[in-house]
Amino acid sequence: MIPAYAYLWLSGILFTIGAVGVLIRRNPLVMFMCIELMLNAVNLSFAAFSRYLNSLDGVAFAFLVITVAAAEVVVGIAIIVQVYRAGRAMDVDELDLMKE
Amino acid sequence: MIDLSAVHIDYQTVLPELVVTGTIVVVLLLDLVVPPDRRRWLAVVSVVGLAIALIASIPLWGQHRSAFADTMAGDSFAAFFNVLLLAVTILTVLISPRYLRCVHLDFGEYYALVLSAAAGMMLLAAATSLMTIFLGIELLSLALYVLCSFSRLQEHSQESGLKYLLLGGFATGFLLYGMALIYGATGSTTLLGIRAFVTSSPGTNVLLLLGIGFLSVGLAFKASAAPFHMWTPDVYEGAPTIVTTFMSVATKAAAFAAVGRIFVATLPSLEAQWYVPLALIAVLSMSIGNVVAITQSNLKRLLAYSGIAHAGFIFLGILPGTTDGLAASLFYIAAYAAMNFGAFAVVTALDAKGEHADELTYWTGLFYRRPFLATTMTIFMLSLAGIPPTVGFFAKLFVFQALVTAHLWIPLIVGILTTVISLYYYLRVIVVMVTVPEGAPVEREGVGLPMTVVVGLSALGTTVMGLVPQVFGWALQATRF
Amino acid sequence: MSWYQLPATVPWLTIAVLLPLAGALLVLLAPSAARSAIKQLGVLTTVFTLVLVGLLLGGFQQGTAGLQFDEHHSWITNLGISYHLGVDGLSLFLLGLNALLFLLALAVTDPKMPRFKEFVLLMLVLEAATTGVLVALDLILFYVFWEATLVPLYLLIGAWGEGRRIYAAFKFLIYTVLASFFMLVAILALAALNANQTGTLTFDWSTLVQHPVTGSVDVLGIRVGIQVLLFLGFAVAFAVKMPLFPVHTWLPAAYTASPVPTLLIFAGLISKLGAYGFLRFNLSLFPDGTRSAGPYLAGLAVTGILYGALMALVQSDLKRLVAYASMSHLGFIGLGIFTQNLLGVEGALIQMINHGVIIAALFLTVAMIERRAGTRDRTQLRGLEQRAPLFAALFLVVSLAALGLPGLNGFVGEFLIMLGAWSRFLPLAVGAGLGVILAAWYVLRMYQGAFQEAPSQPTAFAEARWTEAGVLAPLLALMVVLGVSPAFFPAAVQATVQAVVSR
Repeated sequence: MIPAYAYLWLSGILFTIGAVGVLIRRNPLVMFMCIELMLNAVNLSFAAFSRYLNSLDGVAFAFLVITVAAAEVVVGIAIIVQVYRAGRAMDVDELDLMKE
Repeated sequence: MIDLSAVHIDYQTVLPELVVTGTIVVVLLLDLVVPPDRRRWLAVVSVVGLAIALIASIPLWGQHRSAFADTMAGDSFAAFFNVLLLAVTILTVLISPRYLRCVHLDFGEYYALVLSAAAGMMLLAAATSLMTIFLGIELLSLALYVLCSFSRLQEHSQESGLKYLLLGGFATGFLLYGMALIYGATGSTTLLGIRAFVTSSPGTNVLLLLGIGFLSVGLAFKASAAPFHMWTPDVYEGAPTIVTTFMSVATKAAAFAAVGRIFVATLPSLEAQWYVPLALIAVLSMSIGNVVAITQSNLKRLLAYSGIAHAGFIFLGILPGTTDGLAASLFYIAAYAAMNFGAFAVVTALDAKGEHADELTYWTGLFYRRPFLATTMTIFMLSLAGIPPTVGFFAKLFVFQALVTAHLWIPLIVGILTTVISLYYYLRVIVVMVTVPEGAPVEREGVGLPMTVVVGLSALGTTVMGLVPQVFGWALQATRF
Repeated sequence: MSWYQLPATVPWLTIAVLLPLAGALLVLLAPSAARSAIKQLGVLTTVFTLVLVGLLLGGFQQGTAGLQFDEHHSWITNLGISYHLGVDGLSLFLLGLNALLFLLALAVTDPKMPRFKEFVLLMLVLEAATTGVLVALDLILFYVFWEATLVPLYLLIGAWGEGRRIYAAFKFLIYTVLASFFMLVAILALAALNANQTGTLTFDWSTLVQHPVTGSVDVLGIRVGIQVLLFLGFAVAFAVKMPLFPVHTWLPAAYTASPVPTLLIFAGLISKLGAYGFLRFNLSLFPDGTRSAGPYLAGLAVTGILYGALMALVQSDLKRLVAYASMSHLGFIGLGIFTQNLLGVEGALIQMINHGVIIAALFLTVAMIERRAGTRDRTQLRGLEQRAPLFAALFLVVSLAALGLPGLNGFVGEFLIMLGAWSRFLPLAVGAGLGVILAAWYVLRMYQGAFQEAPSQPTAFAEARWTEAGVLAPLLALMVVLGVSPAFFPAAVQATVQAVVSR
């Protein structure tokens, strides 16, 4: 059987990949995908902890996260598409209308 | 393990939230049948729903209810925040129709979104479990993402929404990861369970501390405290002004409700561990907010940085880890709500004409063009600067007093120094307003009765709230968990 | 001993604070166009306040040191903040000066000025705040009133002033607010120290006075008494307000920019609030701190006397000249306070009233000259005596009082201060004496130049009107009465001053 800490390590690595991705990638769509990766890393943690602690709370939490993430995707994609339609380049560095 | 059959549904605890949620549905349905030129009725319906929710919150005062397997609380703390948040939402909705018409954003979804955000904030204030805290934050955030980019044709607004979405999602990731770690360390998702674990096993638990750290990052982001404040100026500037008005006050209040419940009510025994990071957040927020605000020429950005600084001041009251300190923070939040809402409402009133009223140059000589708005703005600026007899002074006084009592000298000194710095930019706004403009652009058109009433009420609250001792008494009672 | 007994159940001082506010509320409700009605409202309000304060003056129990007309209610009990008002010898006559000057200021306000209604409104709010400063005995309450004076003053100068009004108003505000924060820190620290000592947190002056703080702390390696530190915290705020040299630099700009009615209050009263603060808080709460730091401040005060006098000598603008003269005279008050003996402090108290009366009269007459001649440049005015003998006579009396001629009020206070200084700081007394001589020089030169020398060409200059003489009359009467029979004054204040200096 795979020990619990292995799942936690994997979750930590996935989370880091996601966080680093948000910080270095400049395409909003890719950044958004990285955020989803972070959330799913968290879900993995929850599931692992739930199994390890023998409590259902973590699994319930993971379902909650999945649902909310879906809602976030709906809103997020809508906003990204809206910006894209406005003819702006898909690069957050160029979203600089409000620099002082 | 949650035994679902044992979950007793306590409707009274969630009645305010239920009423607001019901109003959302009603408003959405009404939007289908109400003709476009009658949309202000949606605002009326929203205000009625919010007012009923406000009345329904009052019976929670003085109670110690716990509902849904300890995931929601019905207590004075929740009632305090419900009243505050609902009052802010009502005022927002009151001044919305005219503004929305002026900037051609008069859509029915607006009201539903504002109500959703309010429901999320109330949920957050009443949440006593990591799950409900997460749900509350997401509910308010999702509504606000849309509201920020509500102006579909305005590139600024689009950019504001996208930035808020990406950075907000990023912060949510941290928040959730923190929650997962806390759950892993303590085996519980309710604050009661976490508290029980922390008090029974006092040793240093790395997993728990790491979790609290990640959680704080997420909350500090929502409260727009430094160093997680980068989004604030851009989002505040780009969002429709009415949305900025609402979120600058309400989001911060709701986020601090969660901070108070987590740090002061749940983790007071770990004060030695969380004191330094939270003190850093407070000190950085006050310093960065107040110093950078000096260089701003856009009023929305200036108020955004000022809001960052005030987040720092509110954190000061959390630092002693006592309920008395938290009461000072609560009073500060109420004070901040009155004065900052008022200041942004004035910007909204001027912005309604679609000009660049948020640029400071536009405000030159406002005292001679719009004496009422300029006078009330003067009151708000003085209060934000902490000059008596306004409520801003008392808020700072109570927080400083809490620090003096707890002998926390370094945050106190930073607080006072940055207050002095902040005088410069708040007073500059007043100076600009009394400066005689070149030429004489006389425009004395009114701002409408609702705006006058709302701005007047905010000004009254800003002037009187500090002088009425009961308000601080309420804050004290609200922190008796 | 008092002339009559006032019923103790009436909250006299609260009424004195609220009366101007009630007037302000009525003004707020009046339509802007009803200028004469607004003026009558404003003047009536100040008359009522003056009558009320007059009642208090008569009902004041003389010969006792304690607080009278005491009102004490709990306010924010959790933090030891209370609503405590009271009057003693330190504040009694200043209250009278306050009420009188506001009446005169509103009487000379021109109803045809722009935004007249708002002006009257702000003046009445200012009166409520200054009255509050003089009667508040809880440190937080005092601080609230103290800061509350700033906003009306700021707007009165910024929106109705002349010349570089915004710059002047801003400079004044920044100086005073910055200084006040030092006081706030000192207040919080004082209350916290007292709470450590006695176990109860309180901001009440009368309690704090009974438990002077002791001990010392290391500041940058030097051992400093806590009393000295707290003394300095309060002193910064009061020194700026007064103003003492070298934190006076806001004064010329602010005085020059002020509209005349505001200037009367500004020069006549606001500067006294700083001096009053020194007496009420620094001398009473930190007697040891005053003994250590007082001599330095006395030195600054004398520097201010000489600096103000020399600057007054080189001014040609009459308004600026009087502004510097005012600063010079305020130096005397500072010197008197820091002698910390009966004569000096009593002299300072008397001089505070005198200075208020004299400076108000001087600025009023300068404004009258400016309105007639269209200029207040000393070098352009010639031979006004021949054209307006009555006006010249009025001006002469005011000038003589200003230079401290025996028989007029300016003499009494300065003489007492010099006596007090003589026994404590001899060299400083000599410096102050030099200041008196310089005062005679610039005042007489101003009078001679403007009124006596023959004009090169005839200029129109109208005689004083009855209304103008009527406004000046109470001030002139006070100058003579206070100058001829100053004795009634010490009777009322001596006990309080004795209590202050013997701490």
